[in-house]
Amino acid sequence: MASKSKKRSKAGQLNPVDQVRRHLERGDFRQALKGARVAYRQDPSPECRCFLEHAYIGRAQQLAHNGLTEDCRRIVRDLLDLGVTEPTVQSAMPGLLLSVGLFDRLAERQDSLTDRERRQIRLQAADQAVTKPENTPKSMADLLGDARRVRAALEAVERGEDAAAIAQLKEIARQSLLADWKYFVRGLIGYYRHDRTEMLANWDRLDTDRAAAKIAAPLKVLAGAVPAGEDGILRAKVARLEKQGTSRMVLSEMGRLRESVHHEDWPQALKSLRSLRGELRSLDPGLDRRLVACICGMFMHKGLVGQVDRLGRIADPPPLDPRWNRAKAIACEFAEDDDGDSDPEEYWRKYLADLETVTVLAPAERDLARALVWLRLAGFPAHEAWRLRRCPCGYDHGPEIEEVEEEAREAFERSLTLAPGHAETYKAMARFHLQDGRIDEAAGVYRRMLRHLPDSLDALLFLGEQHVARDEPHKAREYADRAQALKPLDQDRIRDLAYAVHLGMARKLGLEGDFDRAREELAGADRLKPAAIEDYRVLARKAVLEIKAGGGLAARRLVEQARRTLSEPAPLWLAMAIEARRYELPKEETWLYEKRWQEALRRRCRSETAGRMCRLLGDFLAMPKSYPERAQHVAWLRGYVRRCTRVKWRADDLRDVCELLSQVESAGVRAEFARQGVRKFPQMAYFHLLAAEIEISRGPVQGDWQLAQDGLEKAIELASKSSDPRDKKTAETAARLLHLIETAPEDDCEDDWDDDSEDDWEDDDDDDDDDGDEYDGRAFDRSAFGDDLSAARLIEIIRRASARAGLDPKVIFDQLGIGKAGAGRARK
Amino acid sequence: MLEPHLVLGVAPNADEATLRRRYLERVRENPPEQHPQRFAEIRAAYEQLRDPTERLKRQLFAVESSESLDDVIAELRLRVQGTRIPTTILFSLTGN
Repeated sequence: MASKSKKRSKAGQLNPVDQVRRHLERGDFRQALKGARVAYRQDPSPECRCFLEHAYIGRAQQLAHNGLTEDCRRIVRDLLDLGVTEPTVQSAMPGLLLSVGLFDRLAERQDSLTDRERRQIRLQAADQAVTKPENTPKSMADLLGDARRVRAALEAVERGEDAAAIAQLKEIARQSLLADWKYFVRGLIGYYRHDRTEMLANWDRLDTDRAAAKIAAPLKVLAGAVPAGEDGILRAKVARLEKQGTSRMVLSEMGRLRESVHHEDWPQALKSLRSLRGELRSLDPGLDRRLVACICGMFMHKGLVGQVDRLGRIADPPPLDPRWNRAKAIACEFAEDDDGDSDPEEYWRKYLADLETVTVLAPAERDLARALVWLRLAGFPAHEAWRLRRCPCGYDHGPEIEEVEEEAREAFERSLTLAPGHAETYKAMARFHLQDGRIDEAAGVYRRMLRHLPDSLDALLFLGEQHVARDEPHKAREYADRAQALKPLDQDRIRDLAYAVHLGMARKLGLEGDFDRAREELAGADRLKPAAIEDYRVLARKAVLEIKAGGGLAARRLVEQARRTLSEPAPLWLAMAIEARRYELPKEETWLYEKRWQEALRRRCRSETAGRMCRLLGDFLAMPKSYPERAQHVAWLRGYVRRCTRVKWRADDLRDVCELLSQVESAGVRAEFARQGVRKFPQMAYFHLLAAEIEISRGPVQGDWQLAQDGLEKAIELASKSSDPRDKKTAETAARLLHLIETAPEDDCEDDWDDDSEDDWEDDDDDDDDDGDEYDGRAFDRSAFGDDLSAARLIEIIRRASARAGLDPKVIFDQLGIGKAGAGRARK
Repeated sequence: MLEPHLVLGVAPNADEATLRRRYLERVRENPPEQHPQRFAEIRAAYEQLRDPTERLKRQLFAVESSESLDDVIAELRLRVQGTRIPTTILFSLTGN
């Protein structure tokens, strides 16, 4: 109140002219007119008259704008009675007179107008003839015909009769003052038809000073063709139109929602969503559902479990996810933090219960949906088993592995019970077994798959390959033939299997003495030979068969031929030695080739030779069924390879050597080769992976896991750019290992410790007043190891250190007086 | 690779007939002789979309909504734009 009187007193200090000026500046024409009248009465100076005229015209325009035509007329008449002397007021008069229907007063002024002003007035009159035909002066009655047509066209558009509207417009000549409205109506039809080109082609031709352009402007904003900008009047018009389309400003609110989403202001986004939903539902329930799905999708992808929960409180759940458990489960899978509230398994299990009551799915679909969720659930323990088996912490995770594997098996079985014809479940289950080398169990899964899906190419090929590996080519051929009969697009795997079957059959027949058929099989194999198999290997096999068949001359010719394909004979003698063992040649023959190979191995090491021999022996090492003396061959080859540390390597040869060494676990020299590989061939993903693997295998204490992580990231990056088909597996392995070390095995294992220690140890953290831990009635003073060192951590360090030193940790625990807890853990 | 429904340019819940029609259109636009890679993508997308199991799998495990917020806004704009405005309201916009 005090401030108001202050203002008044301040205003009271101003002279009347200043007060009028101030009111005019503020657009307060009512007060300005009041003040100007008083001022002019007191002082009829030109200055006061000027202010009075401006106040009159301002007030009149204001009243006309607000639709108070009668009041406006009264003011205009007063102004005309006063007389207009100010040029700016004079120029505004014709339009004003026209808009309030004072045509007689307008006619009086015609002579004083310029041609331009006259044209302006006619254009204004033309617009008025459309919007307010009753205000059209009789002198401009010629406009009324076209104006009527425009109105009729607009009314036809309003009814949705666009063709009728166009027909009305045909009568309006191009030179007509109402031609502008023709464009407007055509543009309006384009607007309603969502034909932006048509709309803009017409509306861009409108005269911006005319009424049609003023109507088109907010419509263009509404159509998204132009932004509203900072123009308040335009924004107000857009809002008015928006309310016409809906009952609220939905589009503006949607814009706010988009902004909130962009800035990840989730509380504000949910607030906007809540205020929008009712309106959207009344417009179309589908729009509401889609909007909620959009927001939910964002929350899931960003792992925002809590926001999904909040969304669930304000939005209807999707029909397929009645309690939002599916959304929460997925959000948990994406959540970065690993707190207690982000357990996807828990939510998936809840979702399984939800699915039983979901009505949008038919019963069969419901079973399939549940099967798919069980399959999803199986993935968690399956992965955990894989992780635990590779956990480098050194603890025995056996019981945990057993537990999670059982969990995975149960989930797979439940999935298969619900959908026994779902191929992906069998494949996932087989992968689960294969990840830890349970080949027989994987084969069992594929056999089961074939019972339900007899045309499963994956199952046929896997089983065929397994029979080849088990030296059962007859059985393998059955599967290969069945696979071939399916005529799949991808023939490569079938060709490889058929090739392997030919080789297996040739050997079987050779051993049985059926040499002609064995030769036929080898000829069949020739036709299918993969490009990667070098000729010397084929020739060596044929030579051995000929020796077996007693054809010494033919064998010698083949050996000579093979010899010519190689720069050094060592790989050929190895191939001959292997095949001689496999074809069960007489001992003297076998020894001959082994002796020749050993002699060749004594020569100077070469990259090409080492790579070739490792490729050859590596193929036989990958087979589960060994041949006699394979281990001896491996040992000799390892001896050769160990001498190769100063060889000028070719990338592929070094990779083949490392791959063979990975199979025979030669850690020392493999690490040296990995180092060389990274140094000499930094662009090859494989060596980065190998170096990282070696680093990880050294454990979290000795190994540099940061280095390993960098290596794995580099491997993934390079493998993704590589065209080498082997690098697909490199990328997969690197990604899994990266995940393994990123999930902090130390922490997990510590958790295990902590869980165990609850039984064995008094709480480390809460026992602050005690400077020692106690177990089994025996205090353990940890002060010597620092305050931050928990007993569990100390035991872990001792266990690792003793393992490295090759000592029995139990002895150390006893000497330290830790007692049976330490010993128990040591056993673990 | 793009989501299969984006490859074909159909809504995620498009019915069998729409899928088939759109697939044939896309194949006509990308014949296998001229665009083998593109054709293979279209074919694979179609196979995926028409498989009911794959469709259910997408419904259950799809992370992000098949359309963006902008898609919904565009749709809403069309709805608002589609409502015929009375001529009297249009005339009321002529003032400043």
